[in-house]
Amino acid sequence: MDTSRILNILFIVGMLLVAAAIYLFNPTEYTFMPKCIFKSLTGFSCPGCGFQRSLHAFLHGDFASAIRYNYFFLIAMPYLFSVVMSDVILRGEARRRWQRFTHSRWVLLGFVILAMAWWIVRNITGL
Amino acid sequence: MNTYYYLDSTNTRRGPVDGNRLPAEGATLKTLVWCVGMQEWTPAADVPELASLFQTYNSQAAEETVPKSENPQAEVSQPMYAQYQQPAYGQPYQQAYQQPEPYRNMPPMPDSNLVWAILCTICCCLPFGIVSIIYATKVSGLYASGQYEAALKASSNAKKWATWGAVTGIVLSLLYSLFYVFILGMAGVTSSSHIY
Repeated sequence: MDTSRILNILFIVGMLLVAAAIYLFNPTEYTFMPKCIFKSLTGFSCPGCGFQRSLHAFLHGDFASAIRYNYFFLIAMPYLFSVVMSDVILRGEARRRWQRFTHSRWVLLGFVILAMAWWIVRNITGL
Repeated sequence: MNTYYYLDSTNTRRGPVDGNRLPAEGATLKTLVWCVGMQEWTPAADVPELASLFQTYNSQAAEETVPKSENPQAEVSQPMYAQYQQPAYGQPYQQAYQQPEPYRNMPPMPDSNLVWAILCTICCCLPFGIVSIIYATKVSGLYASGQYEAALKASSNAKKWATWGAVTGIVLSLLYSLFYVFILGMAGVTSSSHIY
């Protein structure tokens, strides 16, 4: 087995451990769950603020509050999933086909622009 | 022996050449090589058939003072090969604009650690993640137009930023959690000293 394969397996194991931690410990109740540095310093929300709470709610089947904690979850989660598929899990032709979508310039730029837009909108409207 | 592409000392893609010719082309065990079917550029030392080839080549070179002139046929075929190479290399480059995917036998698209860049963006080590994604947007375009070396450079930048973002994020989160455990531990000590 080559090193990249081993690293990928380690990565998946790490992701599962993080997901398990977020499933078990509700980020609103346990102080040791990492807080957003940007928010602690400036008081403004970053585009990712609420993501742990979203994931916690999502893993417990509460989709409505998962989206309410961070509306960007709706875009970022499916995209993150497809990038993990294309870059970590798949090999060969299937990998190339997924990467044509996940690595395409417009998808990437779209993601950045949406993240920036969400950053501004959420701080103005307080969503 | 497979047919390989390799990166020369200036990181320019060369080839394809037959694996047996790699030592004569100036490749070493550290040279990054790729052939159809391989996931990534790999040092020649990590490709079994090349590693053994280089071993025999090196021991031959040590024994014989002029190893190159041993095979006169190779000397003759070299200029012919170079002539043949020139137009064949230029043609698909121009066609790349009409055909989006003529590079069936080009090395796989270089990796940009996109997963980490996305994770950074979501988990608020934001600036590094965004810089990384911006570099990553260049990779697929350059790759599709056949500019492999430029794509490789952009991807290594994307990788660098994503890695720094991930490292910063993980270290800061761990520090935060440790800090809290420490504070709680101290609180526990003080409250118990109040009781007793």
